[in-house]
Amino acid sequence: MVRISSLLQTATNTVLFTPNKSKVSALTITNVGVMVATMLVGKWILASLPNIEVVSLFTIVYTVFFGSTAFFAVIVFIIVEGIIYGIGWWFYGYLLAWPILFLIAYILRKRANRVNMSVASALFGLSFGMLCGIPYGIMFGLKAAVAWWIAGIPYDILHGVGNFIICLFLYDPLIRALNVVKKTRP
Amino acid sequence: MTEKKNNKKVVLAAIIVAVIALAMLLTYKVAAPKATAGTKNVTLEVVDNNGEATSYEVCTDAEYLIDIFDEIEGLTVDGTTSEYGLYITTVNGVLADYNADGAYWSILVNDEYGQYGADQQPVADGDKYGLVYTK
Repeated sequence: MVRISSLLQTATNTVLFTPNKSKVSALTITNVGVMVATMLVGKWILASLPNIEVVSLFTIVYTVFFGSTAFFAVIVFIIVEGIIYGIGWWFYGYLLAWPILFLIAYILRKRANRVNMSVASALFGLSFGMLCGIPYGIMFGLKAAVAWWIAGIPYDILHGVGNFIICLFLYDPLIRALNVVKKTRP
Repeated sequence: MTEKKNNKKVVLAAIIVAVIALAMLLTYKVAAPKATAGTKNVTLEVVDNNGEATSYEVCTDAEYLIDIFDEIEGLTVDGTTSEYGLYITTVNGVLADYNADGAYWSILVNDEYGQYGADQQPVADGDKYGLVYTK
């Protein structure tokens, strides 16, 4: 069982204290920057398609490949989204939902393959409305949250099915591409 | 052999996702708001940024609130459409800019906050709807 405190400690150590335990690693900062950039651009490119997105795929792939460092990319992605679109109730939904996906991918990373991760991505998409409904419920009441979740179910289904197909076809190529980059890095 | 096994796993995974999606779809079919056909008499009240109210009496066959907007002479409603439905930004030329000052247009149903967007709010005979500038 992964303990969140030890996970955060590992992530903090990885980001802030590598390689010489005193300076922030330029490579790590660059990695986080590129991760966030691809998530934002990926989201923006597919924005016209309702709930078809690649942020889930990137979150999963980066977590499998970079481990706990991906957590920082997820947090920075959420913050940048908040800066771009303004802090609404959805922001708190994002703060809950995306770290949960990171956590799931982190727990599954030892058994990561395209099928497992596609199912995880699909379940995340299907439950996205429910997860975002939690802060909505805190702000507007349980009844309103349930009504909101039910009204959005068709979009959650689209989200889940889209995530499944996207992850099924793009998980392996992305992992392969990252391995190629890793091998060719000076 | 391995490829066959992998294909089986993919099919099994797809079935799991499909079953959950189907269960959610059934939940939606049972619990989603339902519109009724036929003529209804309803009231729509717009309360602007100065607190001034304008009331419209409507006799309509519209099934959802959004359809009433086009039927009312003198009422203009603009907004943006996303996966969450219509987000109303401007009513009768009054813009509510949430990013600028936290203002938004609330939808009221019989003087209570509505639980759906204008495109999902069913219209029922005798109901009173409100578009209220809220800050």
